[in-house]
Amino acid sequence: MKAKDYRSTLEPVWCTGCGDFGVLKGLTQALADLEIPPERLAVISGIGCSSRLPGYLRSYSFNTIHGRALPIAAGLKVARPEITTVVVGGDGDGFSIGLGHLPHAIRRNVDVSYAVLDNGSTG
Amino acid sequence: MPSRTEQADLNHAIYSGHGDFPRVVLGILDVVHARQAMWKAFDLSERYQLPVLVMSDAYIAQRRQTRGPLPEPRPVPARQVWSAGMGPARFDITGEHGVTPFRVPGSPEGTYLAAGIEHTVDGHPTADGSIHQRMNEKRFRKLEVIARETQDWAVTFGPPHATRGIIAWGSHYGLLREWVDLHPEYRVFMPEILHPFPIAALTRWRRGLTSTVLVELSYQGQLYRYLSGLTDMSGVRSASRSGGLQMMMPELERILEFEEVAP
Repeated sequence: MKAKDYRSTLEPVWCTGCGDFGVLKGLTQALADLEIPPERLAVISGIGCSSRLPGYLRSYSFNTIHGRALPIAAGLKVARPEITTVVVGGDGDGFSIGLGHLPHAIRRNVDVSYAVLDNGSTG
Repeated sequence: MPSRTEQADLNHAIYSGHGDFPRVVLGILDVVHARQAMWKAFDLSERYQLPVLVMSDAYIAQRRQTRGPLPEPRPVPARQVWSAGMGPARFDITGEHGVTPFRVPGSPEGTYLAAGIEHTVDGHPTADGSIHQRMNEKRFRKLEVIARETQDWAVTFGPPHATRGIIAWGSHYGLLREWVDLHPEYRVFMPEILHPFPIAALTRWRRGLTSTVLVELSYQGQLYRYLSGLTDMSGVRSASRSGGLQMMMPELERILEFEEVAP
């Protein structure tokens, strides 16, 4: 699959020039390079501009609640370890309201990748 | 695990939340009943894809109880699972009983977005009011079906022709079993499901009663208030108090004696 094949039919609503476009492009390219089938991919997010990203991907995507993406992703990974699980969110989601989950996610060391799209706003 | 003996979270369980969404609330009668109730909770939750809240209290959670041999294991609750070719959309609005098959991550061609806000049939976020209305109509069809399925989920005991009634829920079960053994002029109605409430079963049970008391551990009388919105409770006296300690026979006796002298 090519990088563009990982995109859903939804068009991003991010502002012109937003760095989130670059993250989306980089993520789809990485998925293509790693040849991960969309049905073996789960992308979990919290709330915020960057947390819209899962909707732009062909994957099992879950736009969850503010700051809680990590525990939900950990639950999915524990239940379905064969699914490649990616968490995306902003700095507020990850380092403000959701900060309490970060040390526990590190301590549990569940095999998920966490991308924080830091615009320095609330984190 | 509940840390207090009280029944004052009923409003919270039935009504709280962000916006409209269907949910089911069950009540546990005792330790033995808890196993059965939890199986029912998972069964409803899996089949209808909605949250099920199970209400217990410390009086049940922190005691031991002798039971008979465990029954045969029940089958694992079955959810409708999607497979390729079953339909076009995860959130198809025409789903039977408001339920569309669950897409298990890993199923080929089944990827979708589970949005945290209202969404289209494909899962795309939307602020369209007409879609929101239709999605809620779909979701709340689940409660109509569940209400029919659970219309008899209540425990009644005591002589069927007794003329004095007691309505209660949860951990009053043991106390009331003992009460009706000693006082055959009473019979008892205890719902296993609190929402949607088996109101038709309650209405049938109330026939022939000359007096009825609703006993609960809630300062506000939350069950009484809830039922007042569902049926005519004008002939039922509310006997409620704050929790903290479970009710014992002497207190129940005082409550029911009060009934004797009440106009």
